[in-house]
Order: sequence, then C-alpha cells, then structure tokens
Amino acid sequence: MNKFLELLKNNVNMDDLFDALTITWQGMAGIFVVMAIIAVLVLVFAAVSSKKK
Amino acid sequence: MDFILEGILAVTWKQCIMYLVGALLIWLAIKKEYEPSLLLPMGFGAILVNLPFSGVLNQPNEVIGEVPGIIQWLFETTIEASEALPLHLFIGIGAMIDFGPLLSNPKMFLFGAAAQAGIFLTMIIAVIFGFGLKDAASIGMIGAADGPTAILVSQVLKSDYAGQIAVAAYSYMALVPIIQPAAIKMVTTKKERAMKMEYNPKNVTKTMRILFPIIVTVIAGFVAPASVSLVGFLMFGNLIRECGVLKTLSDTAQNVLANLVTLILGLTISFSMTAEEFVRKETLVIILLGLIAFVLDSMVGVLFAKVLNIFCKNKVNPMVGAAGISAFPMSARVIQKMGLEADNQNHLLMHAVGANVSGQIASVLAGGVILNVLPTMLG
Repeated sequence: MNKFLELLKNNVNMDDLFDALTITWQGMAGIFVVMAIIAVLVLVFAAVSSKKK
Repeated sequence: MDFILEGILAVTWKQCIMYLVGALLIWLAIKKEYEPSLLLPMGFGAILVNLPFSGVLNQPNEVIGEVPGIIQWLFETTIEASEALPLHLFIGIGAMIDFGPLLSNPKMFLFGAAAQAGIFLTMIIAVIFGFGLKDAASIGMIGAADGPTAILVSQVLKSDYAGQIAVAAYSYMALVPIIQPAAIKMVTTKKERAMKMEYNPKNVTKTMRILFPIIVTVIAGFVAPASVSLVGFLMFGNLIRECGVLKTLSDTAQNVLANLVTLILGLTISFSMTAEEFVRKETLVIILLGLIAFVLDSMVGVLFAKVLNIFCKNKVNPMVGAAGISAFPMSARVIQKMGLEADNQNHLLMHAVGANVSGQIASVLAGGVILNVLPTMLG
C-alpha cells in the first residue's frame, strides 16, 4: 500500500488528483440534489392534481 | 507541372493513418450501422482535413494571403466561438424525448443521477494516467454517453483531445448493446436479472408535461448556472413537443433540424481530427478510458439500484439502474432484452425508458456541473 502511494505521489499531479476528487463529490452531490428536487416537485404536483380531481 | 505531384509528395505517415481512421469510421457507419448519421460525416471529414494543403482548412498563400477553408470556418464559428451546433442539436433531442415514463415514476430520477458516476470516476483515472484536469474532465464526459455534451464540454474547456473525445463518445454510444450486457453481467446474478417489476403507469397531466421542462431549466439554472445552455436548449425542445400548439415546429426539430445539425456537426468536428492532433499515443489511452467510463456508468447504476432495494418496499430490477446512462433508447432496449433473456415474461422496457430519459437530463447536468466547478477550481 505504501509503495502504491509512493508510486502515485511520484507519477501523478496530486493537486489535480485532489481537485478531481473534489469535483467528483461536489458534482455527484449537485446532480443528486437537482434530480431529487425535481423528483419531489413532480411527486407534489402529481399529489395536488390527483386531489383536485 | 510540379503542382500535380506537390500534394502526393506532401503526404505524411500520420495523414495515411488518418485516411485509415476515416475509412474505418465510414465502414462502421455503413457496414455495421454504428451511429451512421455522425460517424459517416466524421469519417469523410477525417479524410478531407488530412489531404495535404486541404482546401477545407485555412491555407496561407504568398500572393493572395490566407485562403479560408469551410470546415475550419464552421468549427471556429459554430463550435469554438458559440457552441451553436451541439446546442441546436439539443433542441432536436429534447423534442424527441417523451418524459412520460419518468414523470409517472419519479424514483427513476435517482437512477439517472447515479449512472453519471462513470464520468467522474473516469476523470480521476485520467488524472492518474497523467492527463491535466481540463483534459481529464473532458475525457470523463465520454461517460455521459451523450455526444453533443461531450463535444461541448471539451470545447469549452479547450481540451487538446476534442477529436478523440468525439470519436470515442459516438463509437461507444453505438457499442452500448455490446458494452452494457457485459458490464451488467459482471455485477448481477441471473436471479437478479430475472426480477420482475410491476408497471402501473400514473396519469401524467398535460400541465405537468408543460411545466416540467420549465421547472427543470429553472432549478438547474439556480444550482449550476453553466448548465443553463445545455439543459435550457434540451428542455426548450421538449416544451415545443409538449405545448401542443407547435406540432409542425416539433416535427421539424425532431427530424429536419436534428438531421441537418448532426450532418454538419459530424463534418465540422472532423476539424479536430487533423493528423497532428489525432495521431498520438494518448489517443489509444483516451479510447480505453472511454470504454472504462461506459462500463463504470453501467456498474454504478446497477449497484445503486441494489443499494436502493435495501431501503425500498417495491424492489427495482438492478439492471434498470444501468439504463440511467444517456444513450437513448439503446440502453433501455438492452435492459428489456436482457430481462427477457433471464425470464421470457420479464418486461422492463418502460421502467428502463424512465431511467434512460432521466439519464438524458442528468448527463447534461453533469456537463454543466463540471463547467461550473472546474473553472472556479482552476481559477
């Protein structure tokens, strides 16, 4: 494991790697939040329209 | 008479490779029918731009100055300067999509989100392979399984590998029926693939269908403003379809506009397929990373469905999670076929279509999120 981390440190731009990890969690969180908000709105709208009927 | 031989003598070995690449793309388009509307113009364009002193590219002339070339002009104005071509294609795509199956089962929104993980995981792998962050993010976008988004993001981020990314994105989209079954089988058992799902479609009102594209655009705009052009054009196309008073425009967007833009986009993107840009060892790595992106998308989608099943009363066939990629409608068809293979009474098409159209929204959102977050990070 230590050897692998050493290899990673020597060959990979660690700043870019940390940035990529940050973009990954922020990106996935952002997409899930937007999709969840839309899903909830659709559910609420469907519930309201079925009550009106 | 020297000019007769001037062209032939100027051909380089790299250009010869590009003629072969062009011929391969044309062969795939015609013989295998892999995304022919895009791979054919891209293949022909690859040959056009690699002819020595090609007239489709700007060429310096000692006497009359620079002579403009049509493909370079198209690229600089309709992709590089404005992203007009990929964005206009989104109007056509939006007009083609029926969000009904998604609106009647909103849980599917989450599958679209989960299946974008391949984009980000591939970006991390690309960084480990030594690509800079902008290139790595653009390469990851191959996993969006959404050609126009991949082209747009790579152009906005000014990636050095736009041509390779476009070729990989469209090639793998065409190969979804081969890639996805293999990836899905790696993370599912036959019993899981045979899992049946009831389909009880809820009535989706016209008002909801009309409000949906507007609401999605506004929410996406608030959370990821950079995604507004992508999501907005996609949803505008869908609004034309659903409003019910623009049938002719809707038909035009779905057919004439989409076909015309696809044709020109294919030729135009070939500008980034000049031999100097394309023939490098990184191209092979990008092709490999593209495959990894598609496999990861599918696998994460399936695993997400399995996790969701732990908490939900109504279980979802895990394969439906893999349909959360944007390749529409191929991915949904793949899931339906695999469901029937596992059990000949297992019809999953409508569930898979719901996840698949959700992937359409999520993939453009992913593009927007990357365009939003990455420049701030590099800034």
